[in-house]
Amino acid sequence: MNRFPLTVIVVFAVLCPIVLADAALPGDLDDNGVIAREELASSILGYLSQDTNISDAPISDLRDSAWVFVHWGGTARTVTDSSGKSLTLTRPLRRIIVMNSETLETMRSLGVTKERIVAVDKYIAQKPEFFPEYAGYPSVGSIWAPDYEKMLSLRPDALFLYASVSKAECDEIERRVTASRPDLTVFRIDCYRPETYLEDTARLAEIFGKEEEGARLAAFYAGALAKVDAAASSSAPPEVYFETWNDFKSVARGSGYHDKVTMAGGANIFRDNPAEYPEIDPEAVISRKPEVVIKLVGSSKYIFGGYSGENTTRFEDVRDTLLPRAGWSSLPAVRDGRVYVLHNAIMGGPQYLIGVTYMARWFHPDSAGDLDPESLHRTYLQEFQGLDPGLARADRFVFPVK
Amino acid sequence: MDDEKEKIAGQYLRMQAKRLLFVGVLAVLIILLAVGSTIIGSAGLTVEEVFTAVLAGLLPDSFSADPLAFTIVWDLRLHRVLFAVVAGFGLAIAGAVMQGVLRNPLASPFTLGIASAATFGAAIAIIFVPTALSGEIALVVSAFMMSAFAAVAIYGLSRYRGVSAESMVLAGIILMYLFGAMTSFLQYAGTTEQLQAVVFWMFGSLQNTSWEKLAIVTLVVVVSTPLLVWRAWDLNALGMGDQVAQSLGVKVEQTRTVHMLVASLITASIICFTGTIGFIGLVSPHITRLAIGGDHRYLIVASGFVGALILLGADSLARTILAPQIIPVGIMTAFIGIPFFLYLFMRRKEEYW
Repeated sequence: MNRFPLTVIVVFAVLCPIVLADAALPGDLDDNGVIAREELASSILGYLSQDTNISDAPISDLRDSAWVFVHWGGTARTVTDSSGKSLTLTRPLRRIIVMNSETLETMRSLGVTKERIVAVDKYIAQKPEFFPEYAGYPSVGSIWAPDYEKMLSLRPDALFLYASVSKAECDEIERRVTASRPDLTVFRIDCYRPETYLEDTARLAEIFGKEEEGARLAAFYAGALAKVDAAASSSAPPEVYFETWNDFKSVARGSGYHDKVTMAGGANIFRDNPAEYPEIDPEAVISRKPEVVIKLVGSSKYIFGGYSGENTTRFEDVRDTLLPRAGWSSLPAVRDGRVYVLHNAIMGGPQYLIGVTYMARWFHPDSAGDLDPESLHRTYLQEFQGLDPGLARADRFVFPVK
Repeated sequence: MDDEKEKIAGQYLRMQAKRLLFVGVLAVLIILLAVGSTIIGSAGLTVEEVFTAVLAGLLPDSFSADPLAFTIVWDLRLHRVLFAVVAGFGLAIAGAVMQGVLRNPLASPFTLGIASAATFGAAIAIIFVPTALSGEIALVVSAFMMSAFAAVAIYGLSRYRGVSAESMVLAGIILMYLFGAMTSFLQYAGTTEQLQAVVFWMFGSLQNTSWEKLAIVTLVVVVSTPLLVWRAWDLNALGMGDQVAQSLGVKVEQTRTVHMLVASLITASIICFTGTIGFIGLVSPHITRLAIGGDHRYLIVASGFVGALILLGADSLARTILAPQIIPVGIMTAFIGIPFFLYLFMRRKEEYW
């Protein structure tokens, strides 16, 4: 018999002071599922007059019931996460663990502040330029190596994990954490894929009672995407060779990068390859005569630029190593000077919008008048992320800038 | 008595003819395959374009080719095809020599830790030298140094117990596990991307060959092969056991040391460019032995031809089977070599081990 899982559960149960959150609505004195104005009033009066005959609710319950009354109209809120799971919230979330940087970024766009978050994953804690408020923040490891003890000892009331990204790892974390804390609310939200990003945003807005902020963010995306669409459909899509940070490793249908190239109005030359991230024969690039080449940097041996802003001169070096590749002088992209280097920070998660706008401008230069990716980036950082808009300087993310 | 003599002489001549035939057939196959794989490729050049391009490169005064076809043939295909031939040859003779020197059918650059050491060297470079431009040189140098170090360490360790076959095999296995563990440990220091790069390196690939790399590898193979073949008799003597060899006047320890170091040098200089291409060094000598017997005077070179054929065939398949996608060649070598090996293994009854 495998006693390991059992042992783990027992150890956790002993280690963590068991918090049995009240499943009922706080301050719902008549248990009818609604906090009425009168119920809230008598709870407040009871607390202020210290008359336990009226109500003996502690201040934290009182605060929660006031919040529920103001934001949710006094009733419990049922939300569906991206995995389709229905979750009922009877209190605002105050001790959250977020293990998915895209969700944390979106929370920040919605105005959910650090006070509600007790821990993040280790990669978030390691990005001081983009997440300055979480630099050195308590970390619960990564989804590949989660620190369960730390997670449970922080007495969280909610855990945010990816829904469809790294699904197996996140399923396992959910399974193990809820085994020792059945009352813990585990949200599975991606905030990762462009096609579901706005739905995920709306879910978060609902969870945190930030509907207004959610609508503002959705309008920002819709406006920017409409401009991209207009440019993308203005002329025939150019043939695009998209190379990841591994040399001659491209992308095909089924990968997020392919979708983004398509969204920006480009025709990926390896779209029909059966593998999503194929290693490509260099000859095939030459014979397919791409009109635009995009080289992705920001990882592996190409770590520079981005929010850290280190060694931005390397962008040009990378472009210069691409041009003399065997046979590339014959490529339309090289002849016409349309070889671009793009940083991954603006291609993944919520910021795909910025990368896509840059690409749309490169793919459709004639109708690019409306597209200003750098100022879009500045707006995003300043208005939604509360960061220095100077971080959006184009030379940290793309080459050539003009 | 004379009958007996003639019979033996006849047998020997037949054996000799068979060996020559084997090598001849292999040479023809290699040439055909090399021509074929120069012609085939994702760019879809015609046979005529390829031949014109090849001739234009060899005799620039009398032929001129389409510049694009010229680039594809000379800058992308030819050095890769030739590299496959030379690297396959080198890995196979290194395997043949190691098996002979150690009297062990399982000896190969892999089982002796040379390849694990190269992987460790590569992993160090991949994880700690994340620079775009000097990265490759660092990787090659680091992989080469580590495997050279492993070769010296095998020698050093086995010296403690006298340079016997058993002690060398043991020292090699110790190193293989040690470097394997160190590579695994290093992987914890890397990012997911870097891990992928290390794993990819472990499959081996001819994607990054160039004329310069081909020149280096060819030089090493061309210089060391005659040396190994010249001392092939000593290997035959070693095959009878150390004491027999000693009584025949072979300097056992010196022979073993020199052969091991040369074989390791060949292996290191190839895999530092390609990543660990497994299987060829192990199986080519076996295939050859089953076909033409265990005389090292022929075995070494013939193994080289078998290795060249397997690696070239594997790389041609790797480039074309899912074109334009490329599969790491290390995966294909086993697919190509094993059926061949199985056939001989089931059919032959003679024992050379």
